[in-house]
Amino acid sequence: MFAGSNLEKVLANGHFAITGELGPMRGTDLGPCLEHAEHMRNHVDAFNITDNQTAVVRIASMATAIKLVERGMDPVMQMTVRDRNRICLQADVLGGASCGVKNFLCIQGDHQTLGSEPQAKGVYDVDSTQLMKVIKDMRDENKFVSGDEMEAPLDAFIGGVVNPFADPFEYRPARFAKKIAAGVNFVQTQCIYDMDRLKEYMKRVVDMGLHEKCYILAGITPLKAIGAAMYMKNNVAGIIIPDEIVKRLKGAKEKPGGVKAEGLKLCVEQIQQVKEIEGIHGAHIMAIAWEEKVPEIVEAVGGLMPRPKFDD
Amino acid sequence: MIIGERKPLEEVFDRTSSFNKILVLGCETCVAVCLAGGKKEAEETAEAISLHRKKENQPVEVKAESVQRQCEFEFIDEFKDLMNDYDVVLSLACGVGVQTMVDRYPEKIVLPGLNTTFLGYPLEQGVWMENCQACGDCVLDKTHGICPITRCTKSMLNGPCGGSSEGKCEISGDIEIECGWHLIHERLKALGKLDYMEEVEPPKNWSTSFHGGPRKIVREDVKIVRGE
Amino acid sequence: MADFNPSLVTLCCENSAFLVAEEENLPGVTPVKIPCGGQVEHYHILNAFDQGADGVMVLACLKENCKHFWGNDRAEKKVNYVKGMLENIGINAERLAYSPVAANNEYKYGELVKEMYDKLKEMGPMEGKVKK
Repeated sequence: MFAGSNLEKVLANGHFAITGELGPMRGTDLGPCLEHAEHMRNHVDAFNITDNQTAVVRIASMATAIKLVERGMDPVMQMTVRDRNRICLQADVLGGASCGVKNFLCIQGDHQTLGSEPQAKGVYDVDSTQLMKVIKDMRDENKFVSGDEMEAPLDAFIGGVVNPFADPFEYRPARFAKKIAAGVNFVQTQCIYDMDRLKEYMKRVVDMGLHEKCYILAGITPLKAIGAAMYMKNNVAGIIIPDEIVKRLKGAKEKPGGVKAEGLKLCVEQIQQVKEIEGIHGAHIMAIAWEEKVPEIVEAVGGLMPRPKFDD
Repeated sequence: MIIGERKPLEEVFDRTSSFNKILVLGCETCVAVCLAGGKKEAEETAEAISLHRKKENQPVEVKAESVQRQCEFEFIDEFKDLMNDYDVVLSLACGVGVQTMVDRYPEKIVLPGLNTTFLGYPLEQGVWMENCQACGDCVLDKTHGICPITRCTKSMLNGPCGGSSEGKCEISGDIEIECGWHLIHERLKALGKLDYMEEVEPPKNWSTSFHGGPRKIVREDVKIVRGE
Repeated sequence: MADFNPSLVTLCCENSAFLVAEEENLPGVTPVKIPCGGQVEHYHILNAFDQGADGVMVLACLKENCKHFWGNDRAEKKVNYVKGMLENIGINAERLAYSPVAANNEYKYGELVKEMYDKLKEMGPMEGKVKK
């Protein structure tokens, strides 16, 4: 065990893990976010807190993560390298850990020009791969980047992301291997819609034996509307939405429950499908602006409830 | 070379509005080659100021000149006499030239007429691209000639982020930005050197860049000491 | 504006428009010989206005007929750029025009110049110019 977080225990004991994503608010009231967390408390193993997601200013992921720790939940604190240099990144790892956060997820972050403060200065002192190594060295060597000794040890379950849908496709498994070498313990993938490409990617990952060195959570996002699907298809770099998916949603317009019901059904099927893929150890549900549906999705997949419990 | 772009004319008119004798001074080195601040551009800027002031009923005396290299004292010294005839210099050199002028003529007001934009080169006539950030610790040997600090929007050192799609960077809008790491990957593949893509590159030492403070190089071996 | 007689400068390529322009000798129109449309610089056009022109025309060779391959195309692009500068200065960009003219087409040259001249007459003196 690296940190003994609930997520790490679930994965280490061979269960198919379920995590849910929470996006903090754009004001000082964290209420809605905590409500969503309470609502899915029994259905997920850990709560992934975004860090100024899509480069839009929000309540800090560390503050939100600490609030969840206080409620007995297991947060995954996301950290982008866009907004903080190595001084602040290491300080926030210490800050989170000192308040009970055990999972740290290292990501590059969407570029600042795409977000709410397009005139901001980007930091990019270290990249996401380097941040994994930084945290690993803090945990395993008790050392900061500078080589200075830490005054007290760090427990951390190090997370990252992989994107099987970005290019160059042929390089993606090697990039994953690099992140493992840098110290990542678990990764979640970009939202999956192109199941064929995921399978091809996972075949290469399994051939390289990467799934034995790192836990892999499949990223799943239910589609709420045709407009949302089209937006992601056309405007979000690194997400592939096949035409059949759009066609299926469009075909559901007249059916009972409409597009939304079809979107949920699709999402449940996707989780059922990824469960069968060798090397996938869990699913990370990113129900953006649809967090209340997470329990329903998890129950509908079948065989996932109740979630495993561990005595501390 | 240093690439620049003339400031919007409105800004030029506004900044020079309180002066009645203006010397527009171009530079014949980098900014002339990128068609932003050479003799021609100094002349057209001077004409534009003159026309604008006539239109505003506030005629102005404005002269266009240019110097071979505005960033070196030897070259700007020749303007000593001319400087006395004008109450402001609108410099069309890069920011380095503007500051060299101020250093040499501290009693004069020197205004920037250009925005110094980046270090780069012309891809073709009319298209310029940034490709160096003067980080002070070149890594082009590792990536075989494509700078990850500059060509990757996020200055990543360990391969492309998840926003790389079909060779394009996630920030591509009206102007397409190539993914720097896609280019590096293609280049290393062609050279049979993809192994580098698997190495974990440690955090970069940014103290050699501007982040270590304004940089200064002192070389005793080439300094001229009087009496030698 | 009936009593306003504009001053129009035509920058004419010596291989085409100027051959016609020097024969025409129209009142209020000052043709200036240029070696090629591609030799026109932004400041030449601005300078004509600065020296008192109410309008400027750049007249070069017909499309794909430039002795120096693309001189005419470049002239057209430069005219468009200077139109933008004129707008920034506060001068109506309509006071500047680009047209291709063939060396043997007196009629077209006369037509184009007359059209521009009438337009300038209608527009009145240059913006901001103190009326005498």
